[in-house]
Amino acid sequence: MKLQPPLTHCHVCLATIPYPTGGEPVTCRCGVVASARVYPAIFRLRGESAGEPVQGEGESACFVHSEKRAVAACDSCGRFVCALCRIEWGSRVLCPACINAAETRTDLLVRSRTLYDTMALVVAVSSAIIFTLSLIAAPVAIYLAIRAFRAPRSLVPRTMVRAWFALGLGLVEVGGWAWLLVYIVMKARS
Amino acid sequence: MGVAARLYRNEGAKLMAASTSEYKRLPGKKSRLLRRDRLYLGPDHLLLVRSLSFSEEYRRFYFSDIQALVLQERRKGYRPVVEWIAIGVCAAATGALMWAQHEIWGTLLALLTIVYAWFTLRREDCKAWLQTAAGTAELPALCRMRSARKALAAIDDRVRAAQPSMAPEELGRALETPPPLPIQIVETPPQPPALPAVSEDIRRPSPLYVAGFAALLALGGFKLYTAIFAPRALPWAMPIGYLAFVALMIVPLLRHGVKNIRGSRAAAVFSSLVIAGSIGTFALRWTTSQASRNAQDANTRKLYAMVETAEPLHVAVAVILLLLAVWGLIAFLLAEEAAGERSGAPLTLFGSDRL
Repeated sequence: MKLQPPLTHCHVCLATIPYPTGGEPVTCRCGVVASARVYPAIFRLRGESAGEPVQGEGESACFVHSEKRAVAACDSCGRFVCALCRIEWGSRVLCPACINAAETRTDLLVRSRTLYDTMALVVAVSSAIIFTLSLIAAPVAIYLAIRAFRAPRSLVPRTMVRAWFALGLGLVEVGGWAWLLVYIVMKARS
Repeated sequence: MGVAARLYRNEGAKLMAASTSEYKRLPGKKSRLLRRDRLYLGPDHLLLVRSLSFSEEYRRFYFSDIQALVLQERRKGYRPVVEWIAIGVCAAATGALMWAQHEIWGTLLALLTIVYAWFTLRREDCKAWLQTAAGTAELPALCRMRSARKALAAIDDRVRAAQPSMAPEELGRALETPPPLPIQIVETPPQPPALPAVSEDIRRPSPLYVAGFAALLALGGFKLYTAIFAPRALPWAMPIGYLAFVALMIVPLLRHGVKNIRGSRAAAVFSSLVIAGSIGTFALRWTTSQASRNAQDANTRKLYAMVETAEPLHVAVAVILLLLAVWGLIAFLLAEEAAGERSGAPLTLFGSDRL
């Protein structure tokens, strides 16, 4: 029901900040201006349907069942879960709320994504700077660009300009090498 | 459709393409060396996106779970050390250019330095946190006061809409400062056992990487010197550059994999850029000198000779290389998330040997 550290302290002088109950800004003794907004969720009791308290004083309680001892934390939302609520999904531990959300929202369990388009762009530009490396790096850039089109994309809005540019640059470099090869062969013949 | 089917379909690109439109970008971002933090508003949650070099990490805070938002202004006049160093390096480079009688380039760099310093010293910085039942979390993207106010206003609206209304007086109870605890004087408090001595070598960077960065710095400085005073390229720059490129980029890539390169390890990318640029400038000068000798046409020979003797071009490239090398060195020395701090393994350019 209270703010938790480090929110309660000034990040500069580490003094406790007496936030006004109205939510107005307050100035710390070191001159730092701070403000806090609280919401009704701060008064929500964990496991309102349960009546029994946790046995041990130092033990964490389950987010849903406050009378049950927590045995793990959800890898998606961080809530503590008891043995009943703990759901092992591959190498991850999830809570029932995250599984329910996944029924309708498939992207809610994604924690990270690999950005193949950035990878392709870096390889393509690097090979353009050091052209001798492009014999190997340009096909790699093309492969990464194609993979960027096929792989799952970022969850947030992101254009595919990097992938298109890397693909174009890689094709130009490969074309340059092909032209050079043809030129050398033709010159050797003549 | 079952949960498993939906989750495994998650790997499909079509489904992901459809889900990209539901996030709305909030003002504010924090950028470091190839690391960037941003905030997005989702339909029912706040999404904290941390972009690393080649990947993105997501963290979700549901509006119904957010208990508090706290914003604290940074102390007036506080600026990160890196920004002071950047201003100092730019000023020093301006002085060097003026001293070498490159007045045009020196004036341009001086103007850029003044504009950068003006914007840097004028802005207001801040820090923001939020609290949920699972704990507290800092929002690094909200590090500028102006954008933080806008973003927090948008988040505030969503959180209020997602939670039941409550009287301000009731909410204010959560901000009441508890009375100080009575002080109890204990004559001889029990002392905890002494911690084991920390070895000095634990956080010391690997000598190999320090030597590599020192060599890069020396290479950049020597390139600057040759560009200004002795316009003759180093014949051994290319093999050394290639060897350093292999050592600093290819070997760690093979050892740790692409996905594990993050944070301070980005310094290697800048180092490789320095080397690549050195090779590029060398190749430019060498190619134009060879071409000007072999060219049959007088105009072509004149053009190549003009590029070869274009000292401002070479000086500008050398200054950029030197700045990049200094930047990479500073980033490495100020690395905050070196894995060696946590694991106790020796700190290297790519974090720790124990990845």
